[in-house]
Amino acid sequence: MQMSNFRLALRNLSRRGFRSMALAVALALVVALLFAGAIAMKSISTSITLGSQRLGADLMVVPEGYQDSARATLIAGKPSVFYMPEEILDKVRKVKGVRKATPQLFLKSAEFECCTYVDILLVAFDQESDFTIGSWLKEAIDRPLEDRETIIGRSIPLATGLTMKYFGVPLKVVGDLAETGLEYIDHAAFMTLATAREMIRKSRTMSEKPLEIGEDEISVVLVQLDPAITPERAKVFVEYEVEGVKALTSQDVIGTVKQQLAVLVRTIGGIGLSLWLITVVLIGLVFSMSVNERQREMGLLQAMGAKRRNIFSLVALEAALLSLAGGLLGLGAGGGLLLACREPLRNAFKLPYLWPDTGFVLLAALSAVIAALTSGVLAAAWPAFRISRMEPYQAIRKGE
Amino acid sequence: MIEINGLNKNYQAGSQILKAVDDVTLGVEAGAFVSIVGHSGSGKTTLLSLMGGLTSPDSGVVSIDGQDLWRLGHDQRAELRNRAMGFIYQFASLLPTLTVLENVLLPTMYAKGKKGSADAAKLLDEVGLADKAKSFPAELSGGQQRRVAIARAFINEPKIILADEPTGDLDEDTEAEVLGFFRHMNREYATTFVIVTHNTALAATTNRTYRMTGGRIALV
Repeated sequence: MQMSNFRLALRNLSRRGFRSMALAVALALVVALLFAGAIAMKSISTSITLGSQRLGADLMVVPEGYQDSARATLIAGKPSVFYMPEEILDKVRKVKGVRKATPQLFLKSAEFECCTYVDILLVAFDQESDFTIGSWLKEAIDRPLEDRETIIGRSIPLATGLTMKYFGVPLKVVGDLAETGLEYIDHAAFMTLATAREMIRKSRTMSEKPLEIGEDEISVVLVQLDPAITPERAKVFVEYEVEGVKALTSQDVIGTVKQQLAVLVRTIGGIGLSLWLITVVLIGLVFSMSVNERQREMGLLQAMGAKRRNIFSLVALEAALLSLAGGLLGLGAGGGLLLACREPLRNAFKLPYLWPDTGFVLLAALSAVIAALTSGVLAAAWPAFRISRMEPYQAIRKGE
Repeated sequence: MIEINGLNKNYQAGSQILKAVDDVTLGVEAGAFVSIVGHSGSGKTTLLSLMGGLTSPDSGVVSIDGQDLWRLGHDQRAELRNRAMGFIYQFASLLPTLTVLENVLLPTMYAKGKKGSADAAKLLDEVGLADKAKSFPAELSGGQQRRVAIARAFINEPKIILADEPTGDLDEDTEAEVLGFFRHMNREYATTFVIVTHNTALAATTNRTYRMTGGRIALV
């Protein structure tokens, strides 16, 4: 057996078990909060980005006055409905800079006998002009969607092959989409415009609450722009040339979420930073007390041949071990917190939520542990330095 | 071996300056067995600490084998202490978190050619504590703890032992055993001993005794 600073540090920490544990737990709280916060924020951010990419449109044209409803539908999948005349589609197509435009019609499933799976968004699209859902279709079924067929978002717990029924129209599930975190996609059923029109017609006779939508109405026009024009510029052109509509850019759609996200980031960051500062001060104080109590011990070690750097590294190592334990504990707690808060977070903020890739999680975990280690060592650095500079005799005498 | 020349060390006590060591000049040759006696506060412990390079003098020179301790850097002085000196204190100096064996091994942490458990166990055997290797200091009596500290002082085979009241709280039998051990190490390995003590009986067993009074030293 050989003696080492590591063994000595471990023994010192275990000797003051309660104190060590209390410090580790304090640090674990900070790490848990920062780690869970970082992952949650990244999840939401990834989901929004992915979702808006999957939307595939540069602009979304909606009836004037329904911008908030549109945002709520697109981000939170809230089955709100709004309609405008189909002739707007042709007007939008004529606007400068518009390359492609395609209509979508949103129907809200109702809580009556008419509908198999309630409270989802039914999204009808025009397969001829579509440039957004086609790529998902290719991934999901690799063929055009027939009338009375649907592909569904990942949140709808129905297997392929089953048939749902909405407003008297059977709807066969022919595939599902990969999870996006955007409720508009994850909690929706996509079908052809012809199927939606059939539902509208049949709802008048089959449903207790008929769909009050005209034959020539649509909900949104999704626009793909020429690369030469910016969405912001095109938005101005559309709103100027087409009466009664508002055009939303991707930024408009995710802007609210980003604002919510920024508030969350600031809140979590602020709490995390405050806790971190308190913990660093706490560790510094505890290590100051600890080295004061152990002055004689440090003097004795110096008398035995310990150099200043040996003394410094002993104290720093104790802090590092403690911080590492706190960091790892915090990662575990943070992971648990994430799992526990995933649904409440999604529900409370109506934000999309996708688990980030493994690389980011590992990076965040590594950063959190390094931050914990650095904090612990930095906090203990001054007491460690102070004790290492004491004359051995002075340290031994002061410890008496 | 140990050369001390014109050594002074003062302490500030309020507005007064206390001369703990006052112009001490002393030579201790290799293999000597020397004691320093004196009343409390006479400067014995301070002088011992100056000899061990544990505190710096206000003036004067302390040389070990011709090396001026205070011309060495801090690290070199620490290496010299580790290699050439063993300290025995009048207080409990064991680390409570370590076992007896680990306490004895402590100075090896800082040594180049590291001694191991077998060496520590041999020393524990020599001080009569072979069966206590895995015990913790709190499980030992004061006398046993002192003997562990003595074993620790010898682990790196130092040339010099600086002992401050090494038998202070030992019963007569243990004191005799410890002194016997010191004598054995002195004879077999020519280890130099400088022992600070109140105990005149102990001092009488050494080859040479100095008395300190008010920081000044004189051969008895």
